[in-house]
Amino acid sequence: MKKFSTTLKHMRRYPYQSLAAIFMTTITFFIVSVFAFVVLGAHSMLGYFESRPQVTAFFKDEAEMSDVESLKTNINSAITVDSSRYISKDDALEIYKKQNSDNPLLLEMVTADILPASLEVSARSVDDLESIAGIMQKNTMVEEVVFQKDVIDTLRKWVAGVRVTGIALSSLLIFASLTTIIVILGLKFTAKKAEINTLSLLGATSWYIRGPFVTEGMIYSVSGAVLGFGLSYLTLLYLTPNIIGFLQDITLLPVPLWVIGSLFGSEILLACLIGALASLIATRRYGR
Amino acid sequence: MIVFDNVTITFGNGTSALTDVSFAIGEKEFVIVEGHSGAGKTSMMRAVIKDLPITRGKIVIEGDDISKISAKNLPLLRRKISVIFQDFKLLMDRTIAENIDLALDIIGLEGEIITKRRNELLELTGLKGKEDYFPVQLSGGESQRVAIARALASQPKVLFADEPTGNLDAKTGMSIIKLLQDINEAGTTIVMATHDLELVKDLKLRRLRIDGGKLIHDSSAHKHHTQEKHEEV
Repeated sequence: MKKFSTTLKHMRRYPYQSLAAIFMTTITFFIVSVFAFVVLGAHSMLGYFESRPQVTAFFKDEAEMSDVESLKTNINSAITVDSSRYISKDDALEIYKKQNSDNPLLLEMVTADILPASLEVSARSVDDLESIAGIMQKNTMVEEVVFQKDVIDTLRKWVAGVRVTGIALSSLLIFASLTTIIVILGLKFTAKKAEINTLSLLGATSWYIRGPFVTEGMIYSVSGAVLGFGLSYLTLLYLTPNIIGFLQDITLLPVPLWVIGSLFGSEILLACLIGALASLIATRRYGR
Repeated sequence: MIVFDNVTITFGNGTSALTDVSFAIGEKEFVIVEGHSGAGKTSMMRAVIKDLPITRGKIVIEGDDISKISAKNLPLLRRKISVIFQDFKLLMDRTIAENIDLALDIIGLEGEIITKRRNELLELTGLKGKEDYFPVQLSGGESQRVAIARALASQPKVLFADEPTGNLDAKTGMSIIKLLQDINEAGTTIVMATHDLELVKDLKLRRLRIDGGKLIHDSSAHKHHTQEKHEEV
């Protein structure tokens, strides 16, 4: 407790340096948290698409029910599928009406005739999508085939890109935080050189002298982690209604509590590590 | 208890602070190290607590060669051998009580034991009632007493005093020497460095005289030598 009050005294004596260190670590952990949320969200989204591998074949207007049944039989004989659903022109209109219920103008202009009938096939695995699509495309009554392989591939690339960017930016900011704390603690350590020399002559151990600086470094980084994480979480809560509206069926939010807790715990651990490492380097480097 | 065996300290620029200095100080002795400014007294004291590395020879304290003491064990040496400096080295932003408490905290004492021990030290050094003063509010003599109280916190076996009367008038200087004598009588070995030969001329104490980094006179050796001569006659 006494050591802690010594640390707080150090911090009060140089308030702007302390603020600079906390500000830097807050920005770092805000960015780390934002990227963590984005990567976790993108992973969940990818999981959603991967768990629902679907191919849709849109039929020509002249296609009969027997053509649909023949296509179903062809697919089932070649690949084991999860399920398949026929959507007639009337069903398609109903879906269209539902999706555009708030825009009567759009509803007035559309009739069942202009909407194509379709067959939605859910595969067991993403890898089957191409084979199913191939069978569909060979059918002469099929106008167009749409499947999620491209969506998943694009999403995978995006997730990888976001992850690499996040890791690079976070590493850069962590390094910046580390050096900021090293410089600030180093300056304080140098400013107290005479006092430290007296403590050493009185028989103080290395840890007795360096302990308050290590605690100070950890207070900076942990405060930054709490503030940065808190800000990013508040931002997430603020944006939640918009994100839910955008994602519609994909339920990413609210983020489960255990995920929030694990992320927060990991960031606190990382903060402790940054604070301890920076202060140990500072006191060793400037204490020579 | 303390043995200097041909100790030489040479700085990087080739200047020698001490050259082949040898002497031994026994337990509970009170020794005065005399010499003009720059004679090597402070270097000698700094070498004892490993604040200054020696170039040649060895310093042995209670049988231990201090050059073999590791950095980890250095604090233990510095608790056993305390040094008080001419510039006091008090922490100016802390009260007298806090300055003394710091030294007690360093050795691992806590709470009421610190308060009790601090009161004993304040009593011994005649500073009772001044515990809440800051060093700037004290006279030179009082500041030196605080430095002595703080140095005694670890109950050292040896107390090195580097020019403890250097900045003080004769009367205050004598009161500090009297305090050191009291501490010596209580069982602590005292080594006091001074350039003020006039102040200590009447003291019946062992003297080591250093000049230009060399030990030029040891009164105990002289006394021993004179006794031997008398016996021969």
